[in-house]
Amino acid sequence: MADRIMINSLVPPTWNRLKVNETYVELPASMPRGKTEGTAPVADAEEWKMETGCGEELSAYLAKSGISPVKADARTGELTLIKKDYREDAAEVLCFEAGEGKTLNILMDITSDEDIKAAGILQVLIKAEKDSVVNLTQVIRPGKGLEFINDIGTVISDKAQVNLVQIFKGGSNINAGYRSGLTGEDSYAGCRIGLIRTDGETLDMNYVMKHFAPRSKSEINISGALSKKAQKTFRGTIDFVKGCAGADGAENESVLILDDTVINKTVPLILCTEENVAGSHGASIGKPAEDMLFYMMSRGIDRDKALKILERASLEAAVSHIADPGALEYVMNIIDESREDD
Amino acid sequence: MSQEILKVEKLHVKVQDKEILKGLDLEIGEGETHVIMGPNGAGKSTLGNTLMGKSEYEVTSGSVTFFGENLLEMATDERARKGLFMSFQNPIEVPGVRLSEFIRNSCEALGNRMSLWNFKKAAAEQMKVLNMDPGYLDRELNVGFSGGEKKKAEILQLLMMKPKLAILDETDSGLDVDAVRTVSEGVKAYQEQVGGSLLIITHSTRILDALNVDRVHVIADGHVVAEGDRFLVDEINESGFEKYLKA
Repeated sequence: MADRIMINSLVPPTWNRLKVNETYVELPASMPRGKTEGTAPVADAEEWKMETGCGEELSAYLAKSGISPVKADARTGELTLIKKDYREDAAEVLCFEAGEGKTLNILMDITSDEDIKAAGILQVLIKAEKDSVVNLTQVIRPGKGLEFINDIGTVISDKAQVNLVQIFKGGSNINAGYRSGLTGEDSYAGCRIGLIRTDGETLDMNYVMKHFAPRSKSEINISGALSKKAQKTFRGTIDFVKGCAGADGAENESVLILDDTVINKTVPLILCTEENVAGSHGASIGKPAEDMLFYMMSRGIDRDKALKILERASLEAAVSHIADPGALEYVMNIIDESREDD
Repeated sequence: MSQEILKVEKLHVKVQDKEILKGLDLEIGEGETHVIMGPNGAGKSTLGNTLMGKSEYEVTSGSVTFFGENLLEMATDERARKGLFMSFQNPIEVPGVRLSEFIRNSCEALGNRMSLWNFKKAAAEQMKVLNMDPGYLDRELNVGFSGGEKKKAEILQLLMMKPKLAILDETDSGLDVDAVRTVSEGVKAYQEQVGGSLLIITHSTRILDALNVDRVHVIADGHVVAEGDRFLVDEINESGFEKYLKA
């Protein structure tokens, strides 16, 4: 029997009729554990309990399925490449811990065969200790048959940074959650997201930046392109908790609407119980400017190709923020492959 | 005159119900450099945008042929593939698209597919002419470029795409003396390397200093009011456009 669980819920909720307050997903009663090489069970699972973007019901479901957290072997100064190629239902909770002053560079490449019908859940938990840096890049590009949930939770200490770059391309229904707990003074969380949704693909996102500490800073930047009955919902919450004086949070979204068949929903939310903070939201959502298309066509590029280039550009805007050269090259090669396919 | 490649006859163009070009005639031969001069609002840029096929510019009568074919029936990208190019007065910013990717796609659209290695080598050679750092290839197209950098990027595209006829729309506007000289060197290199024709739209003359000019056309109120050789440029520099406005 399938479990129906609630994920990506907005706190506080808005009008029900907008249908953005939460999302429900149906999952098998229990999910088998996925396996990633070089991982080992964490010593104390209680120490890794943290809030994530998808929310409590997903974490409870994973616990009920016996998916206990495992710690990945990420070493400072090296690029940790994790390839997840889904061939059957699998769920996993991967933990990363950057010790004081350390830097972790992690690249995850999520794929599945086009004809595989399966469900995948990947929960990533990150602890960034004082003065550490975690650069996490995720390329989520499964085949049409994979229903995928990508869920992230972070706790960021004094002067530590977590820099997330995510690329969403392909798959059918993808749900993504992200939550940063900015508990350290002068801590930083950044999300750069590039997405292409087409051919009826959906993407449901809930990203929360929770500022607990003074002078903590967060940024969410999304660039994307939607076409052919695609649907995307983005909930972006910046939550300034009392005591986070001098905190600064910003979220910006730029989405190209390539035809009239798509549905794009954006729910920016800034919550504030501290006076001395700066929160902002900006959005640019619409069709490509005719001047831009004219410019491209004046170089011999036909309209359809110009739209493809702009679609791919929405990914590159995020990719340009990948800090690790090896990760950057890897992702650029993936994008170049798609260029050859056009 | 050498073999005619562009022929504009009695061209009338309106923009948002206002007639801008009122019966303009122009002929350009292969390898020739023509200059269009005129005061602000004379219709110079309208001519360039109309030739390139911008949709807001409605041709109400007249004809334009390019290598004997009806240019006005072609879409903008088709005109470019036939060998027409325009350097924009205000080049458009295209976030997320690298200059290298844009030029490579443009060259491919024109039938010149290059490996990445050959492309970078060819681009680096042309960038030397323009005093451009090869690092610009990895930057987003025109995003955060200064006025001079944008114009250099336009001329780089000209050198890489090697069109048969290039329209330079106010390419020297807003540039300092050094930048004009560099851009002018790039245009000269196009003349030497490609031997293509040029239609230079300008209301100043600094960009012309290093170039061989075959014909100068003065436009006022939407049509050509005077024509001459290189010396007409000097005359305008001395006396301005006033006498043509009165004519």
